[in-house]
Amino acid sequence: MRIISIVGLKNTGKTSLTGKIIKELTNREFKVASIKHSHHQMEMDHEGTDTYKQMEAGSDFVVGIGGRTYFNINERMDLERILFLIKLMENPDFVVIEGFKAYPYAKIATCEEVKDEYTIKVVNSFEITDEELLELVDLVEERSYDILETLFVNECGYNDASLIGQAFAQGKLDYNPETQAEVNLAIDGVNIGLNRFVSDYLKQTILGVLAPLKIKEYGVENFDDIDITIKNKKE
Amino acid sequence: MSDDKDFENKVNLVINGNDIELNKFTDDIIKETILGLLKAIKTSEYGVDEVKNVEISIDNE
Repeated sequence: MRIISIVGLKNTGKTSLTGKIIKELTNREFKVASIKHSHHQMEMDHEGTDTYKQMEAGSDFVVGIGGRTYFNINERMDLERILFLIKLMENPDFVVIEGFKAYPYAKIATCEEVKDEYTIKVVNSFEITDEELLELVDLVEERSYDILETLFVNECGYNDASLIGQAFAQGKLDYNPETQAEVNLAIDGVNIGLNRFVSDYLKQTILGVLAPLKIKEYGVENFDDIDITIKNKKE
Repeated sequence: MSDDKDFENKVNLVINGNDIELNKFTDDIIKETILGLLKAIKTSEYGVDEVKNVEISIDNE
């Protein structure tokens, strides 16, 4: 999974550019998730719907299931937590975020004022040509990267995830999703970084422990995707 | 099927999107093995001192 943010001041064309990038990534047959961040109150549901009534009645977590499924959570969640949950649920190829300029992920800036060490390019969203858009999405493929704590590289001097992220965003290191950890771990809602060795160790141990289970009885033939949650809180 | 009707699972296991039911023995084995492995990880560096809830996903494709 790789993450790209589109950031900039108000009225600099973030929403338009976000839509264009999502469209081009899906044209390239990538699975895309997206996040919209706003400093204002934002509702995806509206008054009068059954799901709205459930939330008003006191439900903290409302799920609407129909032709599509949506989740409405009455809680302010941290971006890192959201990214982990997106990866757990859908594991998309890309997460495109409109906003969240303070976070350490590869960014496209729609104005110079928000440029920082994670910016891969500053663009004029209103004047970008079709060809420039294709080049921009090429750059997104090259420079964007996964959840920060999952980043580990073998190069000397890069043992801090933020520095690794900056190096990827600036093109100083090449991000290869194939070399990143295959195990994602969160403890008490906090993403925990695992290098390749620890990831492999956890993975192989867990696969070993699960091997005797009669998974065929559940219609499962192999261990492609495994999700485990453990409640260890003492009552 | 659970062999202890009062038993409450501490582990939730999903493989390829399918819920896998665990009896008390397998629940304990998986939980204690994973918690044992996690003891070696420096979780305090992430501000986590006590392991209350664990979420692990493995991509094995």
